[in-house]
Amino acid sequence: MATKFIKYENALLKIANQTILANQATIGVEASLQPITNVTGSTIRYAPAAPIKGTLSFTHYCTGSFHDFLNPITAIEHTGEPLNGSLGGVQFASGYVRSLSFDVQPFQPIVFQSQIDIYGELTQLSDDGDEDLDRKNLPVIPEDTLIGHGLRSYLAGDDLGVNKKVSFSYSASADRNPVVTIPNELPYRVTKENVMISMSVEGEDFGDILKVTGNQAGVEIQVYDVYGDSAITQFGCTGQIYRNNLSATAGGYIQGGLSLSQEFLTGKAEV
Amino acid sequence: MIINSGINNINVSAFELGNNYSMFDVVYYSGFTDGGSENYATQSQSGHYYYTGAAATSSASNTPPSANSPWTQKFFFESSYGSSVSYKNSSYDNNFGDGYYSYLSKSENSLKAAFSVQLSKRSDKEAKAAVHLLEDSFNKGPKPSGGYTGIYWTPFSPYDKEHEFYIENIENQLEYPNVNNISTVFYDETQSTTDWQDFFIPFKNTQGFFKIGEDYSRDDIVYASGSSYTNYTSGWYYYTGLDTTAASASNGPAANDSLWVKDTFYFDINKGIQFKEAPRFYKQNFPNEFYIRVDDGINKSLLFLNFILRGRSDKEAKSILHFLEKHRGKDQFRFTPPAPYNQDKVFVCPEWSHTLNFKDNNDISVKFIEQPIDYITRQVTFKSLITIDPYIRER
Repeated sequence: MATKFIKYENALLKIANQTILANQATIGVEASLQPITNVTGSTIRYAPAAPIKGTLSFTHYCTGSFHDFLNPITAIEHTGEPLNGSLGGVQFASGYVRSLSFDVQPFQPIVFQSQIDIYGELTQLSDDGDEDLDRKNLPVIPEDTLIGHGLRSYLAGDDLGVNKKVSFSYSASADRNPVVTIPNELPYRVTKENVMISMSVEGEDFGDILKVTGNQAGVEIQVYDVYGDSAITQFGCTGQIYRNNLSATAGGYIQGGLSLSQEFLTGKAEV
Repeated sequence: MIINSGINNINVSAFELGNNYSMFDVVYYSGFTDGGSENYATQSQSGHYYYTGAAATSSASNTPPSANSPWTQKFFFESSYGSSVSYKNSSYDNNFGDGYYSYLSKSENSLKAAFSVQLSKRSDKEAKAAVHLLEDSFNKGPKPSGGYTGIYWTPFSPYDKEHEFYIENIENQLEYPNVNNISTVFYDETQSTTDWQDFFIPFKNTQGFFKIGEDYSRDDIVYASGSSYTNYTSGWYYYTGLDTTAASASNGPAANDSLWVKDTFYFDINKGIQFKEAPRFYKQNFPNEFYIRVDDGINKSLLFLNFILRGRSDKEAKSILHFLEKHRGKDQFRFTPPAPYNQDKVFVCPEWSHTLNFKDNNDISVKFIEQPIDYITRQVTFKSLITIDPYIRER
């Protein structure tokens, strides 16, 4: 792979044929190798112990409909996965979404953070992807682009006991385990296990007193852009509040916080 | 309730025309109705079938027993890494004193292999099909004679030749929704070591017969015989050369200082091998826990080695396994243990096990037992009288 210096503006990130307006992206893979030494200490060879695996992590703004394939709780196995894509002319063919998270802060645009597990070798697009029309046509953020924003996005649900929310965050993650069969190098299936949704909310209070069994709560985040009349997307969490905290700092004000967690079932296959 | 569906813990539907079937669907087939006319299956055609192809709508042309049908009754599930194969030779051990002993195989198919198959993290649908097929194997057979037929399965490489296997148990762990771990052990007790070509590693997975002019590389396996070879020197050979070499008469198995070996275990040993010696002696027990130790003849400390050949490539693993198969769990071979035990000794390997960790990553654990007398080069005369079947002779 040739050394290249591609400017950020030209480093196109595409996943599932969708152009992503990312402000940061990293892609990398690694081979899992096990050195095999003989009785004299000489290395006989390096044996592969697992598929080539890597991660594509990126942060991006939500500038339109949220891409469902980036949501670990909606991208059910075998629907849309494996995801293919490229970053700066480097291409991957087997991507599986692992996590999504974002913070909603006052007066701040919402930045989504995504992680996608990648299996198999990376390949190089011809001409580093120069011929990709999406790259040629990609404008710098246009002035009228709508971006999910903390100004109007809100948290719905009254189970929390917090009336004035200052900020909140959302995270959905899953364990993705490859299933590789003999004699293959690539997984024919990547399971989705232990799917968890976690949220934290900060506000003027920490809500109801925490019980030993936790407090049940169901909330939904409505993501809006600054001017839009309808939500760009929603993220829900129906689980147990398991942590309360209250803090005060000189020059500040008392701020409460709580954490909410849900073990999420992405759906059982029909048999 | 489906008539004649056998005794299974998993219910399945009957095959019908016009249904959409996809991978891992299971049906019971006893015929079909097509436009009001009944098409009954023969007894041999009836039974459970498993869908192996791309999703399609069933029609009269792709019924389970039809030619090139996507349905099968064979075990077609792909094994996961972590699966293993264990070999053991059943023998009578004759001890003659002074460390002399012999292994007498209990039969000509005394070397047995057990295939431990893991189907890890399978979907509910695949798990259902796999468990059903395994369960149903106990129901098949030429009734009412009593016996039942096994499961036809082509194991993973390098054992990829179809055999009829039997299982004795099934384990299914429901790890997570839509994530199941299934394991079983396949047995085939009918393979005979009298078959010079195939055992579980088929002839097609070797380089075949040695040929002048052919390029050979390390760990290649050939069968050499012909006018240049005696009864003793003909047989299976393994190439130890590091570089790929074109075969000629001067560097073939029959040549002096050849890089081909027949009865020498030349494979590298990993570090970490342990030597545990327990020399033989008599211990006389007198009152008050007073002992007298008495010498027990010669050959007192024959080596008994258990070690693992780790992280071997698929090619080297095949060569090791073929070498061990062809020594049948009872035939001697030469092996030089690492220093300070580095003398040329003879061993037998009655047990070994092969685990497939990943592609090109195999572990082979072996049990080597030293023998006091080297009879590898001893000429064996075949004195049995072979007669021609009178029926054949008269034809």
